[in-house]
Amino acid sequence: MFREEQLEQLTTPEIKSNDTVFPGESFFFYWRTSPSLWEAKLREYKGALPIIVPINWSLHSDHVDQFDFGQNKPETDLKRLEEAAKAVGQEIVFAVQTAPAPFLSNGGLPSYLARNLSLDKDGVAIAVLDDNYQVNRIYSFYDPRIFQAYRKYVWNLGQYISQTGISSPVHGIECFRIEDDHMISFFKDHSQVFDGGFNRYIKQLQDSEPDKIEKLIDKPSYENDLKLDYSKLIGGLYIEALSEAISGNYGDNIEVCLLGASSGDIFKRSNEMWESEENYYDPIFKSIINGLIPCSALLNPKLKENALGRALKDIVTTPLIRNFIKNEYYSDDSSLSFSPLSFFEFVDGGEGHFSFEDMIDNSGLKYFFEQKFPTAYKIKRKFSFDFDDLDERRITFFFGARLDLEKFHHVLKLFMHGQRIFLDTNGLDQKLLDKLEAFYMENSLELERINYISPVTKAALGEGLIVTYNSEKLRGASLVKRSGFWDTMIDYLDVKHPSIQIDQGIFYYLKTRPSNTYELNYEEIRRFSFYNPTSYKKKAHIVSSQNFAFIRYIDMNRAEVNSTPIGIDIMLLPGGSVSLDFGFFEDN
Amino acid sequence: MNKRDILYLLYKFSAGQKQEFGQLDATYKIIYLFNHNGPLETSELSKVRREDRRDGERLDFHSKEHFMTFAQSVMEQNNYSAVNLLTATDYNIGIESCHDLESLRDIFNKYGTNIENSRPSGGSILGRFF
Repeated sequence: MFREEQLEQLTTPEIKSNDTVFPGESFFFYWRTSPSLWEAKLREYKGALPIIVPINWSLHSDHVDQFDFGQNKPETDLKRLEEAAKAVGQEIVFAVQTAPAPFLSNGGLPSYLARNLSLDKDGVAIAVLDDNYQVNRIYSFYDPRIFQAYRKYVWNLGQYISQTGISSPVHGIECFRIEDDHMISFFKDHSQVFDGGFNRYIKQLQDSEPDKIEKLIDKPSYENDLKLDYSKLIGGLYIEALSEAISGNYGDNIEVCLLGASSGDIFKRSNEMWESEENYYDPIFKSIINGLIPCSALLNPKLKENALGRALKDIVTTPLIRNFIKNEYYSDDSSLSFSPLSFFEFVDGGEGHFSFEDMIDNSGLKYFFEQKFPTAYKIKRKFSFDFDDLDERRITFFFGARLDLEKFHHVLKLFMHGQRIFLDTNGLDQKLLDKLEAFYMENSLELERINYISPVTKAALGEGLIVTYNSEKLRGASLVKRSGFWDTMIDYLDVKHPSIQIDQGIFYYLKTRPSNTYELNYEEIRRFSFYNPTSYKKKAHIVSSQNFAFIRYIDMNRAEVNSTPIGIDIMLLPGGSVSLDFGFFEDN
Repeated sequence: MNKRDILYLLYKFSAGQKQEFGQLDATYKIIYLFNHNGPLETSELSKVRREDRRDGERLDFHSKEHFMTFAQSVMEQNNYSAVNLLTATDYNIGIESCHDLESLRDIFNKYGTNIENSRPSGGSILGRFF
């Protein structure tokens, strides 16, 4: 059941390739090579920027309360690393874990702190296989001793950064994995350590917020909300400790989804019969949809030799990393670069609660989008909008159960700003429903009301559109009917996008960028990238569409492209990939 | 058909509240079920008639007897040579000292319970003669 070849030990020193020090996208593992080679390795690097340098806590702290930042071991000298990057003109950011980092042994903890294993929802210890098929166990960050040690560690790191004049940004980093389509942080834990801390939190609430305890007695399921609150509280303490210690250099948390890190993956990946690059496309897309940087640092380099490696290079680009890091250090110099194409946004006011994805599943939205627009939507976990920078093409979905008065006002404001909105009235407070009706009347909005599986109300104001429906009504209908409902609704919005037909086993990804001065016939350029990780020849077809003109194909590997009157035929050999650019123009 | 490889089963045992008449409300939940080729195909599970299920889709069982019967049935119906049963608690103990693939494999061998398939192998007609 397990790989045998990994058991072989090399007797001669191995010259480590770039795959080892750059194990996934722009991540640089400085501890995997000699400091004397840092400059050479960084010079050779040609991938996405900035280079993310996770700081390896255990490397810098062998013993309790002892820290080494270049004083004893040269490989701990982060100032030297920054100077090496500057010498070769590479941009780096440091990343300090604010949660377990599964690409590090013990999730990054120094061995003297590795005591209480973190458990998943089934009570199974969380562990992953790294890119060399070594087992990395994950330990609970809810252990108060770990938090105390963490504070000392980041305080010492902060002192070192300020004394040495390190000027590169220092971000927090939180790693996630995918479980049953949900993004789960490695900070989440179901062990007794978590339960112990949660019980102390409940006792504290009895004095400070007794109304919450009363609610818990009335409604036992409220415990899940309180657990989420407690988890956020502790997670916030780690982030606060880091931001205080680093102060001037501190940047927000970078959120990364590690491919191959799901609970069952430790078994799946232990056998070469199971380990296949086909397993990792959906997680890459899910990661992007959820606003997390996909990271293949746990995958063996051999897996990335063909289409998967090319897909990762195409998808995890400089604009994507910069956009996901979202930091004031980065100016908007990527406006003419490709970014993920996304027409739709699902707004989760609850910041990642499980029930959110269940909501979009129950209403048939998930099925519909996976079939029709597999990568062209995103899930927004935080409820915040920049009203000065709204994308007029965006169609936003809000869910009544997640809206309070303040958020509800934001929804109406977005509508008034010309945004197109779908609002699920299931779970929306009656007062807010009344407010919505009053809003329609006050603004003399003409309403269209129909009954189609669910009652649907449509109101328009200039470019703005608000469509309400009730997911509870949809839930009772068959999946086909629910999908038909969304087909009709989305069709009404006239989203301009060519239809794509693919053989099973093919994956595709969509990107967009504004047209440049040589492409004035078009409003934007859309790039369609196709990948065939299977062992069979596969086909894809892009149906001709009146608003799109085929411009060129690029990065063709083991593929053929033929233009016909009815569209573009693509033939992909095993491991093949190709990208096609289309110009989009509006009707005259 | 000759007997195939071993079926591996990782499960969680939860002892719940005492019910009426002093019975213990226990649950055996199957977490992972896999063989050398990967997670078990749905078709392999559908061959087995399941009893005492708490939930339509989840592999939960009320009693050890039903749980064991299910595990053995999957093994026999699909012609595995043995089924290796490992509790989450034992897996968690084993993983503490695990560093590589060899030691990961050893968790099942060291802490799991192996039940051999005593049913005669269902070989082909020619196989029975030769």
